[in-house]
Amino acid sequence: MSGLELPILHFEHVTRRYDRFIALEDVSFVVRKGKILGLVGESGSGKTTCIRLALGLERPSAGRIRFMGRPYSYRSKEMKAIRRRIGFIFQDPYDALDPHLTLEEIIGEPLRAHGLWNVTARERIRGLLDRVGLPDASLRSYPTRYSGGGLQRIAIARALALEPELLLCDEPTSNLDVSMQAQIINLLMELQRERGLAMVFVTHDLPLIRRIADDLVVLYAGRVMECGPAREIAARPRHPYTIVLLSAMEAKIPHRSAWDEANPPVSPACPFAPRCWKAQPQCWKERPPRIPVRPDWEVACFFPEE
Amino acid sequence: MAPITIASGWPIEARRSLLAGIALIGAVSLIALLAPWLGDPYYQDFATGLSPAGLPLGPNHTHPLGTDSLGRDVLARVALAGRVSLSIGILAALLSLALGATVGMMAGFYGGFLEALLMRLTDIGLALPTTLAGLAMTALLPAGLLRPVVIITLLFWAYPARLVYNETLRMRRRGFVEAAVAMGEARYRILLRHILPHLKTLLLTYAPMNAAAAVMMEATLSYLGAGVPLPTPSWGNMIGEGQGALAFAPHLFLAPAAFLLLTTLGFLLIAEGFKQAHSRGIRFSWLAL
Repeated sequence: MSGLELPILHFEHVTRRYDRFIALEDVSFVVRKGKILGLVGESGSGKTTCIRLALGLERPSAGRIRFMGRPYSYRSKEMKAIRRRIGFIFQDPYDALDPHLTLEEIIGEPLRAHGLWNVTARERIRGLLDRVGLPDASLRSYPTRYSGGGLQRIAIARALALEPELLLCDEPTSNLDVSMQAQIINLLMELQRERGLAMVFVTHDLPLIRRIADDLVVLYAGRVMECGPAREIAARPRHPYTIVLLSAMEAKIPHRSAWDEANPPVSPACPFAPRCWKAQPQCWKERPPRIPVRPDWEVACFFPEE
Repeated sequence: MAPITIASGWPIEARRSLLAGIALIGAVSLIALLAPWLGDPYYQDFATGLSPAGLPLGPNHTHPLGTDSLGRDVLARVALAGRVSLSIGILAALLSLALGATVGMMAGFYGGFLEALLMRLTDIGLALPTTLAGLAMTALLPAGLLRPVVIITLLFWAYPARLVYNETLRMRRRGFVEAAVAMGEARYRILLRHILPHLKTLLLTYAPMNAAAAVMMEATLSYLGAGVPLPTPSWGNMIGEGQGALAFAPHLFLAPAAFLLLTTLGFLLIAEGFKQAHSRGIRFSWLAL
């Protein structure tokens, strides 16, 4: 996954602990310019924590994050400069937009926050609403008038207001009707192409990943299991967990049901060992290093599939 | 006559409570406002204001609520006391609410050392035995009409602070607040634009209850001689004075007590109206009406 080009976002051995609970441990990946990184894993695997860390809503307990090569600094001025260049879309559109504000205020908020509100701002907001497929929306209407899909469009307009280079999408369609999901995905893909956006896309939808993602990071219990080119991993996964996850996603069953356990036992060595059919004594004792299968493809397993 | 448009979209029970409350507070306030035209509250009329035996007069044509033991007109005194008690109560209620809301929002939103400091102060405020602490503060502060305002504010701010703190903690986790943080919005603007508007319901429902409690507290302090200094009348000190005459001139006690009761009831009815409207899903604007 290492390119010659400077990555937009770079997680370097990032660990995030909450008291004794480890949400992320030693997570590394890069988001390449103009490319889409898919972030998959079951609930509680740390996907959303990655997004929150990238947005500076939380700080790594160890390790570091770089944006365009520069490590994150949490001094407010520098954080603000980074936030100026990152757009985001949250999972729950009903919660992500303040019901007390008008569309103009919501979409204009990033502009105001960065002192970019001027005479053309209203026109710009209009243009954004047109672009996200809400040409008839009144700038003075409130979000309560819109359904989930409409709200997510408004959130997308807000995310694009500052013309970011990176867009973070945390399961942007999981709270929407099936009919609406495809529309929102198509919109996001169009925008990604026309603006050359780099994207992090958190999702459970494997066919979607196969279709849109360039790179893939598979998380399990806060650790990276496998990481590499999305289409090839999807076609021929190497890590046992990826195999299980992908087949569960394919079968459209919640993959957790395979074990009947909401909180599977996690080994401090390989976290997947308790569930793995290939586990050997070594897997319980040592942490598997990330072994390159190819220069751009790493698997954290002692016995990856060939 | 034009129909009353106040709270016209509200459920009937909520609106009824609110309007009854407003009517009561309005009536009491009107009498208080009319005080200068209801007679001289300080004129001691020993010639015609007392019975031949030297006792207070009961209600009669010249003195609708009778006179007190110095021959002063009770209606005039109760009305002036209304000005004093209502202003002190409402002012202290607003100040304590504003102070408490500010403390609660700052503690809940900024977190860290500020949160620890402010919330420990709040805990102390909540632990104070109100009346006792009020009396102690009376001894420390210079006398005057502002003294009960300061004391009641200091006694009452911690309650709304705690409520607002909890609500702010909840709000801080909301998506649109985190979104505002993530887009680089300044913290004070997030507080004013995203959090304060969502505290509206809480503050509007709490305000009239706080006012009722503040008016009662003022009466308590004045009754104990720690509030409004004599000869300025307040409902509390009038009740205190009237208590001794209960056997032969009960109106001296009943008149200020009735006013106090109606005021408290009025504020609580307003609070009840807000509460019912809120539970039926009515959303308030800042003016609420």
